[in-house]
Amino acid sequence: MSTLFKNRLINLVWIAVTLAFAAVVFFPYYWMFASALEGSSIYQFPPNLWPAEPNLDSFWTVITGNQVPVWMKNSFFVASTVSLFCAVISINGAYALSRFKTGATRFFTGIILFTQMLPAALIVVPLFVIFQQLGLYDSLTGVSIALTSFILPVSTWLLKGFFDQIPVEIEQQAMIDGCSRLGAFYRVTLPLALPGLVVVIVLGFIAGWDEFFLARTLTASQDNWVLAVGLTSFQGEYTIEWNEMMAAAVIFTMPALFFFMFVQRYLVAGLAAGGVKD
Amino acid sequence: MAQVKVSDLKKAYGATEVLHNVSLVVEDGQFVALVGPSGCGKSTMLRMIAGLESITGGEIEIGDDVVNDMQPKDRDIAMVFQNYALYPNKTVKNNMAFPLRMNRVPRDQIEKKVAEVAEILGLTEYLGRYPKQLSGGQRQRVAMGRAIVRDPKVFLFDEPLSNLDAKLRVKMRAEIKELHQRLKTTTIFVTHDQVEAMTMADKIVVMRDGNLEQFGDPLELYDSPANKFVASFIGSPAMNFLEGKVEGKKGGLTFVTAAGLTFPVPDKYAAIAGQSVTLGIRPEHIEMEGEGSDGAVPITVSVVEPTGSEAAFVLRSGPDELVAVKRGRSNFAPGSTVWIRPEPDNMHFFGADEQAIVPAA
Amino acid sequence: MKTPAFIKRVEWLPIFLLAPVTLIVIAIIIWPILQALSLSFYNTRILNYNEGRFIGLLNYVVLWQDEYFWNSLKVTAIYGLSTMLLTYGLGLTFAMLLYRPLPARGFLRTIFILPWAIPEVVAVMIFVWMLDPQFGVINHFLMQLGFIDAPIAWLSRSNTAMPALVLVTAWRAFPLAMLILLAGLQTIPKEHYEAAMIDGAGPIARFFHVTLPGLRAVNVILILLLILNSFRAVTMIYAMTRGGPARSTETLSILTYNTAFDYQRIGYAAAQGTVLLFILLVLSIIYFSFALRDRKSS
Repeated sequence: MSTLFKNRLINLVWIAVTLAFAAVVFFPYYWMFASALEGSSIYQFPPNLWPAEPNLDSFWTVITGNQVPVWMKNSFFVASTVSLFCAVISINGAYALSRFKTGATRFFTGIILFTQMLPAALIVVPLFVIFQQLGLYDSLTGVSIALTSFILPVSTWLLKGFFDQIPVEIEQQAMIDGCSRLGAFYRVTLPLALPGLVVVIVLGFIAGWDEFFLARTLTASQDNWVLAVGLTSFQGEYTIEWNEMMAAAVIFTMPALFFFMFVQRYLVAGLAAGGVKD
Repeated sequence: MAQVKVSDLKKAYGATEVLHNVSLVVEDGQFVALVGPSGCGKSTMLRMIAGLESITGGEIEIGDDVVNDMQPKDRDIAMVFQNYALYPNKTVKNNMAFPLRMNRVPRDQIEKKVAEVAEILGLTEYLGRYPKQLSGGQRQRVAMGRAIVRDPKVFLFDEPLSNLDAKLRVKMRAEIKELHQRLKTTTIFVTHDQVEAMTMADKIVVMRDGNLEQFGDPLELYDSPANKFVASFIGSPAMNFLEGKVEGKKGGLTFVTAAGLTFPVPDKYAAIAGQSVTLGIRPEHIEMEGEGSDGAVPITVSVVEPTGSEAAFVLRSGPDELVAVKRGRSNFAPGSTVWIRPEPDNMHFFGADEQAIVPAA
Repeated sequence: MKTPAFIKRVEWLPIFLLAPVTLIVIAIIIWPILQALSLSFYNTRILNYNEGRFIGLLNYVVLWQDEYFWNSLKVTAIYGLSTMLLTYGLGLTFAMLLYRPLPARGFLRTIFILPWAIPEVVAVMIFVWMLDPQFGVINHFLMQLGFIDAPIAWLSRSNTAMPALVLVTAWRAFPLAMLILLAGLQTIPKEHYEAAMIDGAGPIARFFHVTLPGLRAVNVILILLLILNSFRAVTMIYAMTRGGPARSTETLSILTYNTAFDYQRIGYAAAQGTVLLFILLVLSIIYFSFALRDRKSS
């Protein structure tokens, strides 16, 4: 038996096993779509593994309802404000972290590491009270502000990584060519790091779109709920319509999934390059 | 154009000083090479002249101005980096135009100037390309073009050739030298390659561990190195060193190693008779003969390294080892005995402090 | 000499550039944490927030005797360890599968990363639906395979809610572990495998003598990271069970949250959260000491 044949056989078995695992891993996704398309005939046991009469009624019900569209709008507001503010505020700090080694940068690096280990369950207790006193409780602005500061350390650190990849000599060349220090950064380095900035914005958007815990704690009235809070509120009710829930879940997941695919390359590359060591 | 004057220059990072009181004057129009092993402070000094590193102590003057507290952009210098630091998102033309634009040169003049420099460097047909579409040598030329367009007081080069392959490096070496002869702009050129320094520069600064070891003409450094370090750094293959003692016997001075290898020493070194010294002799200053003659010393050939035009011989006598170079072809085989004689005028002696011992006139 | 030999200059630029980020983070994260620490010495409820009474260490004394607190520690440990084991196991298996150069490897990797892309709340919703006692597809599969005879109400029983929770957590978390391990596998030089093959090592010997030692540094950090994450986790547990049934999934994080917002005992919740903070602090110090040592050695 030639080794070539043996290798092919191993490859074939390997692919089969990998595909089988992939199918299992993917199944929850499939089930979300299948249940949403199945409509109200999902209520039977054993269930149809393939939608008997696929239709979009559940989606239609969800979109034309008077709750989900409001929550979607709120989620979009939180996601876009958080991603933009995070990116804009972190630019200067990330530049400082990337290009200086001083007491200030060490101090901030310490703060970043510290915030990463903090338990959210503890922070929200005083935050809840503080936001009530400041009049930020039960407002989307409040959720945006809180989430922005939660994500800022991460986006600053990420952006620093992108600045690190731009050779410092290019900036120094610009300084010799007639730019001031910050001028060289804004005119030369920042435009070169634009892909990194986009990644930071996208990741901020995903985080804002997905956010549940802060929004759940800092908002009360249904009009101020985001999608994640609104959808979980149905849980435990007896009249829960699972086909509509899954349709809403699909709608909720799509933007996150789309943007995730968009930055996936960077996540993988980042992990491969230095994520393991950081 | 201007002279560059560095006085008592110091650089420290926290408590560690990496540059100790270096002083030197680069005359207007001179081409000076800063050479030394990595970590010797040559790049740091260049970057301090450029204004990219802060100055811990001392003073730098460019032309008539003390530039210590000047921003790089106000120093009227141009710099070429090792990795060229071309703006990757700008075309060749815009790369070269950028410094002019920053200095608010009128648009029509920029066009004219860039076209002129592109012509000099043979870049005219590449003006519309981006850096990543260029070869290493072309990028190098763009970096130089960007430096030239400004017509600065001083050119600073930071190991600009070390990213090129050996053949291209030799070619660019000649190009830069020719360019300098044409423009006559004061130039400071950092390199770790002594051949580059020797072939290109009017004057060479040899540095080690943040100290200036010697400053002089290339041939001066080769002929009379100030100390053992400069002697070992300049010249290729490197100078041979033998530890031993100068003995004054009847019939003249001799140099004897611990293992007994003995060479005659010229009389002008009479002052060091009886001292332990290091003998330095360049491979090309050792005469080799197939048979013994008066004053020649027998030694065993251990390895032969022919390169065609010349051959290097590793010679051994007990623990003592020497390298000798002989032009042309010779048929000394490994294991055979040859007779060697160091050229008396080209022997160097270094004391225990590694400083060169100056012979009596 | 005209200039003094040594001038110590403060670099203002980085301070100026970092100021906005730092101030925001201090105001919205560090300041509340400090407030929480101080609250833990007060008897405060949400309604009388401004006139809480200083009671010293009393909250901690009560905590020590609180069986729910000890229960939450046990639940946290079980949740942390089992999610870690399952996540790591899945991550390593899939990383090994994808490490082999297969056709369509990029596509397969994307499939395996997909769970990471889903919002946590949606992952919970899907699994709650799949685990539904009446119509759940998981019960269907398990009955088909003969593991169970009748449908199980997973989330209403105190001994099955935790496994269900671990399952969702691991499903969403394994892609991160897989990517980190895959990156770790790629740092092992091919020559090590080739040398082992020439020395006569089979696939199993190569796994134990080349792969695992090569992953050592990555393993330690990944395992600590997974445990840290599960100790801080709130969203999925809260969305799925809120700690129930019968406190069987009430980790210390969830207990803190429930004490504050269900029972409105803010001072007491702060004490519970402070204990959690210290546990995380210790774990983080271990984590960073490993991470730093790893960086130095490489």
